[in-house]
Amino acid sequence: MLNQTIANHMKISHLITIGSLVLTTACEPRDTVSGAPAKPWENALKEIRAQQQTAKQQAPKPSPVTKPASPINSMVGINATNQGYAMLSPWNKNELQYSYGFGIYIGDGTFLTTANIVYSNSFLELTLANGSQTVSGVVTAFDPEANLALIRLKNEQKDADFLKDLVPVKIGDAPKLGDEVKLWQFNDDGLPIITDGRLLATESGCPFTMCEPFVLYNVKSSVTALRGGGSNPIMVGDTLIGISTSIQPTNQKVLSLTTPLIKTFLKQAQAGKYVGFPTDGAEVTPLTDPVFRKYLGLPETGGGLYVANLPETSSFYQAGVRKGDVIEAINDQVIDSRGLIKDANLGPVSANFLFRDTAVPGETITLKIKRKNAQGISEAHTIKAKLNRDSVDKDIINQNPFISEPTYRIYGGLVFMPITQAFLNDLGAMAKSNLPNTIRRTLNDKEKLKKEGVTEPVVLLTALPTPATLGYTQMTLSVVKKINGVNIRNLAHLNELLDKPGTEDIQTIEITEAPYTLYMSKKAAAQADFFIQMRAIPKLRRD
Amino acid sequence: MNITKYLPCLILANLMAITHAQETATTVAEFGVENLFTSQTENLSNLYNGVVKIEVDSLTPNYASPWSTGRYQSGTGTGFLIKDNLFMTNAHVVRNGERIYVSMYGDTRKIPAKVKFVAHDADLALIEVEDMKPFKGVKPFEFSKTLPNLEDEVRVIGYPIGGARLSVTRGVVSRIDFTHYAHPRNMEHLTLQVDAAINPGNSGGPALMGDKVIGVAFQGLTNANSTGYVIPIPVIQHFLADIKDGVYDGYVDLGIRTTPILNPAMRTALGLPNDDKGLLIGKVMKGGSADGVLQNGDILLKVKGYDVDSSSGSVTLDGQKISMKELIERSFKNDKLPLDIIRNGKPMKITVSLQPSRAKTLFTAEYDKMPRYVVFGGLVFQPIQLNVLGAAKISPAEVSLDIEDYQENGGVKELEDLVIITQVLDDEVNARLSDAVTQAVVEKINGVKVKGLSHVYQLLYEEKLPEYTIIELKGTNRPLIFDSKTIEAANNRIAKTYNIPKNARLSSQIPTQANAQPNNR
Repeated sequence: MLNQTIANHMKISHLITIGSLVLTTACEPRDTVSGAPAKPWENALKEIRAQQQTAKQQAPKPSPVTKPASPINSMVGINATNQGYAMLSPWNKNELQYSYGFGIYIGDGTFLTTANIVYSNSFLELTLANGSQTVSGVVTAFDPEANLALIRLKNEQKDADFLKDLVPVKIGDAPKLGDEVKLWQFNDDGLPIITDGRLLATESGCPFTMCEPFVLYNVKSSVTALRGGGSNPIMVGDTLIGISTSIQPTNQKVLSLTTPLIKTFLKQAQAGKYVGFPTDGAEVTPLTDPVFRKYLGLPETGGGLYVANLPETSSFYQAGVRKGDVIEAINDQVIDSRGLIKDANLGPVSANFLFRDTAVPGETITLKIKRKNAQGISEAHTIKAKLNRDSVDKDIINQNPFISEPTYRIYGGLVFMPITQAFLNDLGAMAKSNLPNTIRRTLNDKEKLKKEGVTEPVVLLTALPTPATLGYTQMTLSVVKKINGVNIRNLAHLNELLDKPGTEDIQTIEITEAPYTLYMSKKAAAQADFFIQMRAIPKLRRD
Repeated sequence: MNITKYLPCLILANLMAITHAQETATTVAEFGVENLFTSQTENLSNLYNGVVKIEVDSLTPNYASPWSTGRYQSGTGTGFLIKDNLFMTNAHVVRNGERIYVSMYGDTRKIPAKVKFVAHDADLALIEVEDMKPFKGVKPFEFSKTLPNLEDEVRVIGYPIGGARLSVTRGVVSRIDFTHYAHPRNMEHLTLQVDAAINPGNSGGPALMGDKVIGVAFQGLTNANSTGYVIPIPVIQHFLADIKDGVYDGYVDLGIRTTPILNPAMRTALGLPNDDKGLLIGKVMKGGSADGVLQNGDILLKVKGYDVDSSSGSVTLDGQKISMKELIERSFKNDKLPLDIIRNGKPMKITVSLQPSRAKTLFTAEYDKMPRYVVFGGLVFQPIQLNVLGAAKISPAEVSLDIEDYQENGGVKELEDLVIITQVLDDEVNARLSDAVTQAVVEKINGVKVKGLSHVYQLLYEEKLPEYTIIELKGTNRPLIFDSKTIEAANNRIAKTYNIPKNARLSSQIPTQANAQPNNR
């Protein structure tokens, strides 16, 4: 609920900030850690010395039961090289990016970290806190919406030694507002750094990429992030209750994923195939306007959320909720006038907490709604909604922000590709969020297009200068409607139509912008493609 | 990119008063101008007698709070006599003019004047004086018949920086090209670029070659040296020809989007020979001149019987190669443009009656008008228009699809205006609404599709409103609901608090002297 597109765009750029922060903090002098409390620091130091001592003496390995969880014993450093494809020239990869963060060992060969460290990684390595061993890792579960990921060793057999001294941490009980917490990290020379913090408040937001928001902990702490600020474990005692998704030292603010979110993620990830958190696709607004309430047939004061927009793919829509309905309670939890429910630990939080942060697809929730009938009288209904991710998965725009192998087709120098969210993100960044009208219109008409059989709108991005595209190079980005008079459904369909054998030499391509109809000779296209392949782009298509 | 800026000729009134007090009448001879132009046979002092200084007091309306008075300003410019009691100047010199005075060269008398014709789209105006006696014997300027050539020497005459004495600068024509006109915004016409100094106050002054006018000085560049811009003869002729019937209609628009037919496959598919002729009509704007006459996909072969060149989109007319754009520039309202086209493979002859484009006025600056608005429940409704968007700091990108639909897809035929809510005047009646008010177009009021600002007024100020007044904005999350019982009191309260004399202005016409007589009330 409450899609916050603007905030989400900001999240993407945030990623870059994380990367650059790392570089500066890595070079900072050691005394940045002086703010850390003395006691755990000394204890940990003692422990390291003890460890070093035992290593010297070649003493037998201490039993893991006696070793406590600590930044040194339970955390590893993660270095990732991130490189996805450039969505506006999908035959090229982007410039290399580097991310650094922490992973926390949760047992059974698995490390928990944040997705913003390991996204689109082309190389991933884990290093023990004491720097003694570095091994390759592989991502086994990845959720950019929740900003969580699981890593295992790439060569589990060969590198089994890497795990042998690690002490797994348990996920703790969800903390209450005001609870004291500790932020764990270690610095480059392997010293543990533990900083105090306090769970101050909650907020609603997307921890990494654009999504329906989650509830996040706002932790007040003077911590200085040593590795970017994503993926620092947040602990109560020796149990994990959160994992930082961003650290703002100037505001002494740490945003953290919540305990229930992490638990739900692990529950699903460890059960096998990871699907993701449920989405409902509904756009809702709180009902604080007394006149609007009266108009809806509700008492002037009270709570509830007004359903302002609801795509047909929405799980709520599938269950029978309609635009204009007022959702008054979910699973018997009453929604207040700000659209919040009461959580026993956290006080008022977004109603999403009930059916997104703590739910898995397939679960059923109960909605109590009010709906105006034909006579204008507001009637109560109870609706059971089965949760799913259809509002994302069944969108004709692929919502996945990281597409590992983006598809495209070059034909005679004309560049075709599907409209995806990843493509829109790059296009929006280039056009300073002023998307071309033809794209805006396509996004507005999604449901209509879907009914017409479109499963993936395709754009003609540009015309590369070839003899075959003479006179076409000044065209602007357009949406492709028809090939040889046939409405196209997706890129595969476009390929099929272009490659269909036939006697006609000239292919007709209808698009939404000038010149509206393009003509392409098969012969000229083949020649042009041969030259493009030789000269500039080795692969003319990715299917 | 350089930004063209018209010459700001606004100078504080008291500063001008000082200048006047210090200066006495003078003659051209004192400038030594005669020495500069020794080759001239014409008596220069006589020639320059027709160049006048124009002082304008204007009232600039405030589109941000359209009910308020606006701002009184003063400025000066130059004009020149072209006919018995007709002085030519720039539209931007006399825009929003409340009171206009003309002073003759070397004469301190201020002669009241008024605007006779104004073409804001071409930045030209003609004014007439109340008393022509002082100008007895002054010879009107003559216009040159043709465009000058590059490197031709020109002189620019005027009263820059508000002085009472004439200034003469000279230079050469350095470029002749289409340029953006700063006064109307989003308008391009033919322009002469000269390297003679053109400064604030020069605006409206003649550019001369010998004793003939070759253009009107009108704008300069703030970030380039020695680039002055002059409105050339074709644009002036267009203005003078347009007003012959007593009304200025403005430039016409064919209302089509064309593409060159260069691609060999495209030519083959369309059955055209390989002769580089013809333009493909990609899109015919609904509501434009060509709507109903031309169709998407038509191929334009000839205009007025002359071949259309495919690569440049130009026509060879009277032995001169001119672009389609220029050809349309030379046309007038109701001109019949004969076209040879191919439609569905068949050659056809058709005629388009050219009309000014109402759709385009959305993005040209508005002058000499009162801003239109409706205030209801503290919501300020205004039509989408360049001045309004600028004043409300709304990016056209926010409403770009609506604007496209209006300008190209037929909106202009059905709708009078696109109406948006530009601001909310806070009051208890709308205190819980502000988060639901967006910059989207107002789509429906009480279930009725909104056609324009007058329609908004009609729907909101009905005798008997339904129990709830429901305003729906396009694509936004919830309707704006008012309890109709409370609205009249709220409207009165808001009018009082925010000092709004009338809750609507539906006509943009400025009251004329005749209906503004006190005894008419």
